[in-house]
Amino acid sequence: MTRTPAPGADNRETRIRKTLLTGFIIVLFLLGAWRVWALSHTRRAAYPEYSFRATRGLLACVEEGARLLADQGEKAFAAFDTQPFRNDKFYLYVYRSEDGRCLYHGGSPDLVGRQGIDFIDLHGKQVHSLVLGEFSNPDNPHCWVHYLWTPPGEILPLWKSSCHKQVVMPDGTGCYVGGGVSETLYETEFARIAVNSAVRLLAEQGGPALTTLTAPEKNFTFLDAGVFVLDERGVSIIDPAFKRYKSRDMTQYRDASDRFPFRLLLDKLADSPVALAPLYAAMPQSMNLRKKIIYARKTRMGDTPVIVGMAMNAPENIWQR
Amino acid sequence: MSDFIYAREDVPPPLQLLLLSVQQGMLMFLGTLFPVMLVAAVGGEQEMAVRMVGMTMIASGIGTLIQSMRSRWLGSGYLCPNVGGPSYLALSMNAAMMGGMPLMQGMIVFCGLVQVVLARILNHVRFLFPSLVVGLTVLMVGLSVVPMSFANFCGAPLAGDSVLWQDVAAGCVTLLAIVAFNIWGKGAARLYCLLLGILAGWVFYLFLCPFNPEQFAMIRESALFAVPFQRLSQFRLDFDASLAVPFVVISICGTLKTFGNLLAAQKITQPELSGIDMKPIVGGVTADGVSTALSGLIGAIAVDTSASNVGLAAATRAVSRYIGFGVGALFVILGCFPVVAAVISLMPPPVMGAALIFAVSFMIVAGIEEIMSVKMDTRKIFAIGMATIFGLSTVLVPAPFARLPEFLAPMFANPLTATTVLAIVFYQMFHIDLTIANLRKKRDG
Repeated sequence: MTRTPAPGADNRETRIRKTLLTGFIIVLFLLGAWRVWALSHTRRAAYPEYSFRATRGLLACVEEGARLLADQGEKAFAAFDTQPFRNDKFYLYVYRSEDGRCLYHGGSPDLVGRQGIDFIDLHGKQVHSLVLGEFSNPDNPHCWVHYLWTPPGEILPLWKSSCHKQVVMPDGTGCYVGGGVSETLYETEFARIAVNSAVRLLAEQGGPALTTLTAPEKNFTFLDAGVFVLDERGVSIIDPAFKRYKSRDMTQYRDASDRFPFRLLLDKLADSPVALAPLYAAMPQSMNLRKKIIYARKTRMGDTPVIVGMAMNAPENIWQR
Repeated sequence: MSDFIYAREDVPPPLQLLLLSVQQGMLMFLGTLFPVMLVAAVGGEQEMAVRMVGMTMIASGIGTLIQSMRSRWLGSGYLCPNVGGPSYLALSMNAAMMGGMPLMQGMIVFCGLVQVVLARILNHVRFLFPSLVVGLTVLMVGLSVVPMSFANFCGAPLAGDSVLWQDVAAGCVTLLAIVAFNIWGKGAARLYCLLLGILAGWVFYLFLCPFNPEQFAMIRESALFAVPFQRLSQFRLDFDASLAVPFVVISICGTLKTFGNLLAAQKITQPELSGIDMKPIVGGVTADGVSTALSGLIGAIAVDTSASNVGLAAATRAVSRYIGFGVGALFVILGCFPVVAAVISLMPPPVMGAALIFAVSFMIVAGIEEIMSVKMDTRKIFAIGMATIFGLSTVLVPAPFARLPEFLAPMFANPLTATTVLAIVFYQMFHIDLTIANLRKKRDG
């Protein structure tokens, strides 16, 4: 026997469906509006100056780790072995400031008890000394240090960028907690830090600072990039490509897109003390060009007006590759 | 076809028209990313980016209005909206870097005019586009949106950056919601499946993902109303003959892409047609050329037709060209309201990615269906198979293509143009004896 639908049953069903749909939309709108209101009243560190989530995540973990260490001392090490302080991307480490002794290491526990001062990378960077030096650098508030690091169990080194925070533990021990990422995250902020630090050094020391700026063991050469210095006409004092090659007119340089990035940079610097300019480099075995960003500042080296800058790979979207 | 909710000439009631236009518009917003990318690449300022986004929205709107027309010369009369697309982006950047915005604008106008000329030729070269080539073109149009869709679905991370599970979860929820409304929904729920899914995914994302105070700041700083036409110098055009060849090549590629989109729109809107009706296609390609030229003239990035929007029309069975008029007008108006554009531009990438994946699925299947409807023989198998292999190699094994002469490079810059061009060439090549025999037969009466 087949059931015949009652007259008006279709209308009733349609009405119920419409009511349910309207209710669903209203609930979604209310939930969304409440959440937006709640978020707009929240203040959380977001590190807007950094482009990569991985960098922001690392910074948040190092800062939280430093807070835990200041509160709990060595008891915090147990927490550092768990998420979010230790994951497949990074881990934390703690060194005593006084003598560079390793107190905790999430990646290579066998380093605990050894002197971090022993660690010198392939470019001759003494990482512990660089970290301590950077704590007094006002241009590098998160104490970024870049060095070649061989991951545990590997033999080939990778560029690693690490940030650090100083802590005094409850027992009075001064130390620093740090963590790094070895996936070559080209943060334009790293170029800004290096250029601003170079500008400060030139202002303090004048010409002799040039030796420090070209030294591979210092914090001005990293991620296959280095600080350059030009005179106000665009002629190199420290060349972007060859550290000891001088007096090259960079305004004549055409990049892979056939344009003059340093002319654009100089034009921008005519109106502003700081400028960013794009530069395109050919990529081997690809039809696409690699975008780089030049971050540059006008300053003085003694009485001479100069331009200090750095060209670094720009962050790019994965689907543009 | 009987199962259309709104067929080509149906006029939806005002509220439905508005909601369907908003739904199409949501998908078009991805196009506003490209002017921002271009301005960043040429080292422009924030103010320039805002103005260019406004201009691009206006150009997209006008382009969509023209495309929806059914006049003798202009417009296809299909729901095939225009968006600021990636096709012309690389060359536009190059031109902007070489000679500033006036050169970029001049070259875009040139591209548009070349496309108008090509549109008039299309009718005479109809024999180049048998069903098999058409199906492959439609399939590749769908596939060409895959990188952008999937990258957004994963939260559009930068190369080398982390993929957050929260982003993927938001993408999955959005996609599931859209698909569920489309499969099991009835009436309004099915018609607005994309809007409902986006809303559900966006709310879910708000609960899951990290807070970014910059986003609120961006809305606060956006002007409520601002006409992006500010000074006459915006309309200055330059021309550089050394760029003409690559721009002609990219115009040919753009024409082929639009041709594919319009064919897909025709297949979806008029499934009863046994062959290709070239009249609306020619009108549509002409309209696309005019829109491209107009976008250059007003200082926007080049706009062209959007594959994902055609897919959305197929998914919702609402193919009325009046929705095109609605979304076109909406975009022209929103181009003058930066604050509204700012709010919509905050749509989370995974939500946008899910919407694109949903829409593009229909394009891909439409292409496969068209290919499968043809009885295969070895000539056709070789033509299609080899064109697909060589075309896809441009992304799967890109290194050898880096050695191509410069004038050929744009043709092999992406799988869509490479596959289409090769399919046309191979198809004619492998049928050369039959073509000659046919010609002889015709000559002999």
